[in-house]
Amino acid sequence: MERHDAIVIGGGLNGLTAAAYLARAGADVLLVERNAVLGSAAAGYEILPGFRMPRYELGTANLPARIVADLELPKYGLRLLRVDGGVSLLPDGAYHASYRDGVTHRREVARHSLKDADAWTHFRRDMLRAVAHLRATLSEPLQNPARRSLSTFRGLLARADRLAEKPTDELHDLVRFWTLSCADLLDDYFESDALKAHLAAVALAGATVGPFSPTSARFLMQAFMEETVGASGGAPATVIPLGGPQAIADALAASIVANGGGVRAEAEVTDVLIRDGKARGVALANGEEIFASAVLSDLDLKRTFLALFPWKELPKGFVERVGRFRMRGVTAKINIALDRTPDFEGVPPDCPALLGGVRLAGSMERMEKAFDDWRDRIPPRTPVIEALIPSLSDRSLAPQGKHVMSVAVHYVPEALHDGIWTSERKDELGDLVVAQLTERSPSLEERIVALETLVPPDIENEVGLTAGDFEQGEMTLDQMFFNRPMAGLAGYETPIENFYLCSGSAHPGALMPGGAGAGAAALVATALGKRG
Amino acid sequence: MRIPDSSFDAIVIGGGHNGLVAAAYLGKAGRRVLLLEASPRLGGALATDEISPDYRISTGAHLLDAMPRQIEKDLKLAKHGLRYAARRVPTIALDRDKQHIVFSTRRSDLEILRRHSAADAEAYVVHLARMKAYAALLTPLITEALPSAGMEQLRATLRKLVWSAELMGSASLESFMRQLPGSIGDLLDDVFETPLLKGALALDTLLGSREGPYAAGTTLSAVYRGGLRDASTGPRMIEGGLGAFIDALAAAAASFGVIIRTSAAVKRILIEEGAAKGIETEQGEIFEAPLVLSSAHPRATMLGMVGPRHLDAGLTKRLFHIADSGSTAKLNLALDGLPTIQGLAPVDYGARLLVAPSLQSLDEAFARFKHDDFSSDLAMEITIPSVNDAPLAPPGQHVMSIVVQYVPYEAAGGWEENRDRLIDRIVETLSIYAPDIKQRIVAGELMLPPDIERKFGLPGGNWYHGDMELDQLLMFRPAPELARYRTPLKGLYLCGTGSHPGGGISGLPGQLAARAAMKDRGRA
Repeated sequence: MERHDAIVIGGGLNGLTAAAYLARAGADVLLVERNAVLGSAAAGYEILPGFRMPRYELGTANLPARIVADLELPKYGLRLLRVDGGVSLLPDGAYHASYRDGVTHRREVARHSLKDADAWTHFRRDMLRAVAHLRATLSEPLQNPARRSLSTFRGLLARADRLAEKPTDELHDLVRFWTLSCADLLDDYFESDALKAHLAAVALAGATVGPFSPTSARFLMQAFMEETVGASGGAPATVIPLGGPQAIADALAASIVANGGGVRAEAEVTDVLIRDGKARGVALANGEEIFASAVLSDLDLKRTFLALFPWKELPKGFVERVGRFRMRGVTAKINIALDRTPDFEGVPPDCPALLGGVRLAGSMERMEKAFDDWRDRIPPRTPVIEALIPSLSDRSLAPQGKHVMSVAVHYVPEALHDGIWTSERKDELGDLVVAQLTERSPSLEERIVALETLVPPDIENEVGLTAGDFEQGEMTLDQMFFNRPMAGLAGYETPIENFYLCSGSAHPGALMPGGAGAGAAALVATALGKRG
Repeated sequence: MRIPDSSFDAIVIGGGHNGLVAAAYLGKAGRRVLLLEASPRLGGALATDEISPDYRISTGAHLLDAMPRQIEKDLKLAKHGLRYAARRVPTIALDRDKQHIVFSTRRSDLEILRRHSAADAEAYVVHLARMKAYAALLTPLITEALPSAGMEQLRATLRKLVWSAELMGSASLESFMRQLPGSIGDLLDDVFETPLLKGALALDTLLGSREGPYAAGTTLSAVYRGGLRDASTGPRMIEGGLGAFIDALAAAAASFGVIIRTSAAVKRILIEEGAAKGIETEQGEIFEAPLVLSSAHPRATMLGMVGPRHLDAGLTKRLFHIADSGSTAKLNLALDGLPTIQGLAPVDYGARLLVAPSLQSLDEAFARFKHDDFSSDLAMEITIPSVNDAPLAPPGQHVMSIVVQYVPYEAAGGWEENRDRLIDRIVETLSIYAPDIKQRIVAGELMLPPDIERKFGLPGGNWYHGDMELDQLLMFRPAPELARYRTPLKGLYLCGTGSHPGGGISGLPGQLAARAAMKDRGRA
């Protein structure tokens, strides 16, 4: 009988992170993954022999520096390349580039508006202040205000006191960042439509809100999460893992193994084994049973509880609540192999910001129309398009002189109001995206040697993300913090003893990649009596 | 130029209901008060006018919705001519299949709701109780001035909130925490199944706002508005329209010795050594007073009448940021007889009628509004004031007042092109419920957001001098530095709807600002 301290179901970023932390804490941990390749949505593939690219994700990463350092990922082969923030292609042949260097960036902003170049400094300062507050909140253990205990009550009172100490205008900014729409907040700072469209497109990539939706302003903070106050005052960097996001998964796996843990691919868990209401292990598709003192699930909330458990083992009403957890896909992926370097009209070919990718958003109105289409469950007519050409900075990804282009298409619904995603409709979406890119890169179409389109249902089928939702549950305030994944069940514990959730469905979700894995691991390590 | 008798204890700028309430309270406390109104007429958006000879109607707001009884008693408004045409105006959601839903928990009303859905009738009672419990958390914050900026007081208030939340019990606290940041649409979808009930309940909380039913934060707005409404006794209709309400307020103020001047626009507020000393009118007259209270828009007061040079850059920026674009139009109709609203009981013609068949239709209307257009399926709040108040129209004839939600300030292609199309859409939508409405119309007047702005002096055509959203409520209304009626300038106070607790016709900003001013002055 195979037995471990802990089993992690699923080899996505959070599952790998959880297993890596547990292994370092001295636990005997085994991670099992259904697919042959680790990384879930981070997995890479060859679209043509010699052309490697991330299959589902765009190819950038925003792994917290703390996790990279804690788990010594550079030692296990991870190389992170920091490049400039990318180029937004604007109507009428114009463009806006984002630079890490403050002087260069302000000069770039000044091309659109002198006033905005000044405003950039204020914007950046306010964003960093808001991010500092968010980071402080994320570093504290999550408290469920509804759980009745003296200590949570004391904690709440202390929190109320701390809030009262903040100057009201700082508090006001905080409330504005968390409640306003992206458009309203950007209007307060900037006058240039170009800059606003660019910032909104960066912020809302993959979000389930539009630029005019209240609370969409908070996504502007996300880009600044890993920025430091001391940096030179430019735009946030884009971080590209050499070898693609797959390389992060590989480094995490190497870290697990080096610390005595195990990783098993092509091992699909069909059931969580339960006795007396406690989790005891897992059953695999091949009939094997593996036992453990703690079981962690890196699957999303729905897949975890609706697929791995006999429903009768779950408390009354729980399955219905899990069913109400909102998961929605918004992003399609188009993978392209090119036989030559693409160029973009109006953008100097040596513009360093091109390494950070190219965006097509147009204007906030145009983005909002795409969001409307998404809500109406029709393929977006004006999709927000992000194209990263990782082979520009990582020559190992494509043969000499050739390239791979990784394209994320946003506001693509997982289900259509009038039917399913047939291959014709997928082709139509691919054609539309290529046509829109070709408008700014006329030779692009003839340079394409391979193209593959994946819509949210494909992503659900291949990597098991319900509805193709990369964030494993909509990141709206009613599903965040002590409401994630649901009120009364915040954090990583579940109604089943010894069974934990360590996926993005748990706090802090997409606010911090790997954060849920790290948080769950700390809890489990303590439960197992290991150093946390 | 200085004219005799130019010195007062207090000057109130603006003769809307909040300005009048502030002036009356000051006068009642024995202060010599001068009130100046820029236009020839008092009342702002509260006005009764003829839309056609012998047809009179409340041209702007049409219901008194949130004024606490205490203000009415303090100012002896009944003595000064305030009469109610209806003290309790029920709210009814109009149904296309004639099964209109009355918002009430009376057994006979619930019976009709039960015909739509038995489950919804049960859920409705629970829902009302729950929303009331949520609102009760906020009510103490709404009817009183906010705790002073001092940390101790703010801490005490926050601690009180934590305590009252604790007392709610863990289950309801859990749903409170989950629902408050969410959208009213999601909440209603969770609780009810009848599309009409959901649509109308949502419209009830969204009227005048720029948010769609599925926008995050709309539950909080709903709870806040509920709290504001619970502080009073709900919507009431005034005999003679809201103009008569203003007349009563003006008479009350005058009885306390307040001097009222109309057509007297204030050009600037006089500042000496960081303190307000009085005002200068556009005509060049100077009036002096150690207290100046302005019920004008906070931006007009602080940037227009005071001037940015007296303010720090942060405050100036915040004043520019006050979001206040309008989202409603008003259609006033003269009718040669009572239209037949199919299936509506005769006693219910005096009610507040809501047209919002579903959340989807509201959401669609919002989507159009967002892109500077309006829906073909309009959401509306309708009253027929002449049912409760016959003298408003010639015998047997009527006036109808319609607030149309989700009408943009600017229409794509311009209002010139679209004004008639909007009127047609409104009448078409009305015809679904009242097929004979077209034949009854003898005259009408449509006010678009720019008309409301011009006619009533409301920037953007927004009723509230700033949206009622979390970032512009409580200690952030209208800006953190101005949140307690006081300004950085000694002796200058804000007393309009742009101040806490904000909009709805409550008179509370006026009352609480007057109280704050007198408290400071007493101390000085």
